[in-house]
Amino acid sequence: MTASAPLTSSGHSAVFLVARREVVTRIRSRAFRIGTVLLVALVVVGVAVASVLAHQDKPARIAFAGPAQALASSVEATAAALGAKVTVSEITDQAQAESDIRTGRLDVLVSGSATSPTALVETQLDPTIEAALDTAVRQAVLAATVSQAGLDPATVTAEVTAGKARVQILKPPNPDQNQSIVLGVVVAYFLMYTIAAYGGFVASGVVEEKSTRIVEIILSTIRPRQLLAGKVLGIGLVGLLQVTVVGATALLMIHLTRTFSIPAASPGAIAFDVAWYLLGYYFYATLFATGGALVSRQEDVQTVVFFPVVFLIAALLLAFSVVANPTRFSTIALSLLPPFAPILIPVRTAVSDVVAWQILLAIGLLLVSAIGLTALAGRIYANSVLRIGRRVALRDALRAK
Amino acid sequence: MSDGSRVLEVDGISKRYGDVVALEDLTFDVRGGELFGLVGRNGAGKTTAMRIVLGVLDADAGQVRWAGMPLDFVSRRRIGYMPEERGLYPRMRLLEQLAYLGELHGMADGDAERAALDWLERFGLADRRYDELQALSHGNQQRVQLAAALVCAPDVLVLDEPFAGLDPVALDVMTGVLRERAEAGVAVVFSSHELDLVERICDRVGIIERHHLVVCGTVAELRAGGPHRLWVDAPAAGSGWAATIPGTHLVRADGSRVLLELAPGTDDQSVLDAARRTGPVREFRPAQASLSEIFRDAVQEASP
Repeated sequence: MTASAPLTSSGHSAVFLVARREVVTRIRSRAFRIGTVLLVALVVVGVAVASVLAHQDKPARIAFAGPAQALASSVEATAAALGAKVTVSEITDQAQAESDIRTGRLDVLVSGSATSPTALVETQLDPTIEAALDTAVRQAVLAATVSQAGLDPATVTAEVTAGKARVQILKPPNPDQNQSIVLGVVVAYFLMYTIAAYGGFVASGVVEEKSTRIVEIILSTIRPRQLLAGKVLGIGLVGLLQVTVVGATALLMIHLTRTFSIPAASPGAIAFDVAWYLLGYYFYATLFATGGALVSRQEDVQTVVFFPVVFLIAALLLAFSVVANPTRFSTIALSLLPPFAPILIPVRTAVSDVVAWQILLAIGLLLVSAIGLTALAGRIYANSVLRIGRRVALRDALRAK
Repeated sequence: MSDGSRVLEVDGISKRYGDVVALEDLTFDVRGGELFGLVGRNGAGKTTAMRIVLGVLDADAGQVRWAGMPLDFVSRRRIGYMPEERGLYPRMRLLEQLAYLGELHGMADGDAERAALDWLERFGLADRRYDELQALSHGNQQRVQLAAALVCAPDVLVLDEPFAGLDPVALDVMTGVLRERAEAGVAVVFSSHELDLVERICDRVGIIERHHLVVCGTVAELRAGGPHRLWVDAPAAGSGWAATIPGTHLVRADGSRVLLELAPGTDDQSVLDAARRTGPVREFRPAQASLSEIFRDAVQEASP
């Protein structure tokens, strides 16, 4: 084929025409509308459920009966120091309190003497509250003992309490770690799903043109690379629309329910995730298109998309290890590799801080390899897209003129 | 009707697939305003030739020119193409699909849509323009396929087996449209196995055999170049009569009628004299070789 005229005479580039067709026909398709509605519903329900679960973190209700009431203020102070929220009350009707525990209106009933109390709970005692209670009991025992020894319990208790190891923290704990992990896993799933789905559309779209033979008519007017570029661009834009709708829904829900307070749930972070969809889609779409060009029937699509799908699944599995150990060297190194970066970099930013140079390096590596892959895929596509019949061997597709 | 500058020239194209020869030095031309029929056995190379004209395949050697200029990506957009393997997007609406193909051929949005609607109206499908192709019957899908080749108002129409699988009504529509396009100055070339149809509608015919053109011309020219045959009905002559006439041989007998083929240089009047000598002669006329016969002869000559 001669090398001239990338534009049609009317001025619309061939790539634009192909991309416009993809956008118009796909957005109108039932699959797109239903898929988008389902995803939006999933996000709304998901954030709502997360919000309900988050607000279940209520203070433990502890009641003190009889002499054990002397422990109440000490337990409250110690529990607060240990980070557990408690409300304490002093009661007289022990039987009523026991029945309250059975019905869930009360969490702990402390009764008996201050130096040897009994804690009654329904199923288990929260370890933090148990520690606070033990501390209060030991102080009571100590006070009783020093009092017997003729010392002033208040002085001794003050000195004992003052005896404390100083703790130096190198890395303060992240109080929002659970939120980060949930968000990281959701982002990983969503990116993997979207890239696989829209990459899959590219593969089946290429095969549709081959199996219906319309590719022969189209390629008598435009070049294979223009058809490939238009298809990847058009389907990518449809995917971007869906990702944007879902992302905006998520932001709106997060804002309304005030569930996620962490930076990873901010508009900027979600825009960052959307940008990674685009990068990941571009990288994988060339692989999916190449696979599609090698076969002629929809039944054979599964075999040729195996390769990119395996990489996407591997990226998702690695995402779980990133969530668990975001700063381990191996996860950092893997997250920079082009097949994994589109999923692992957003996950890393959700669960920990990622230095800018790593993000830039991952983007750079991905773009360089995707551009190289595009050239390779264009060649394979051009050489195999018109071959109808049995699967084209990759070697032949690369070698042919 | 014919315009000298509007000629599609296929000049010495060759194509091999590995060790298999598909075309060997194929040459023919199709003038603007004429219907050119390309006939040949399966595997003779017709589809390969058409794909090369459309640039879907690259030739190993040779050139295809339109109006004296080698075809390139821009001039190929002036060609309407109906591939052997039919196919359009099954889930795309008719009007959009045809307009899209028009735009790929370089038409502006509005022009493409207008042309698409015109052809849908012409084929009685205007009220279904918002239907998806897959909702149409087989016959209507064939009409849309033809409209897809016509929508770009082409200078050249290349149609691979356009009559295959058409019902009689669709066939009349198809031949009518092709005739009309030719009269409008379009160079129309198509391949077909329907030799009677080719004979009836084509201005010129080319026969491809063993990867190149063995015969090319109007049907009358092909007949003139073929063997000279006579139908003779001499009822009193008896069965062995034909064998007694020098310079002829019997092609076949039909009751008392015989079809004789005359060797070159044999005078048909001497055959008439011989027939008259046997008694009354009821019929004596030159046989019009049908295209099927010309084709069979050409194929036999080319493949000994």
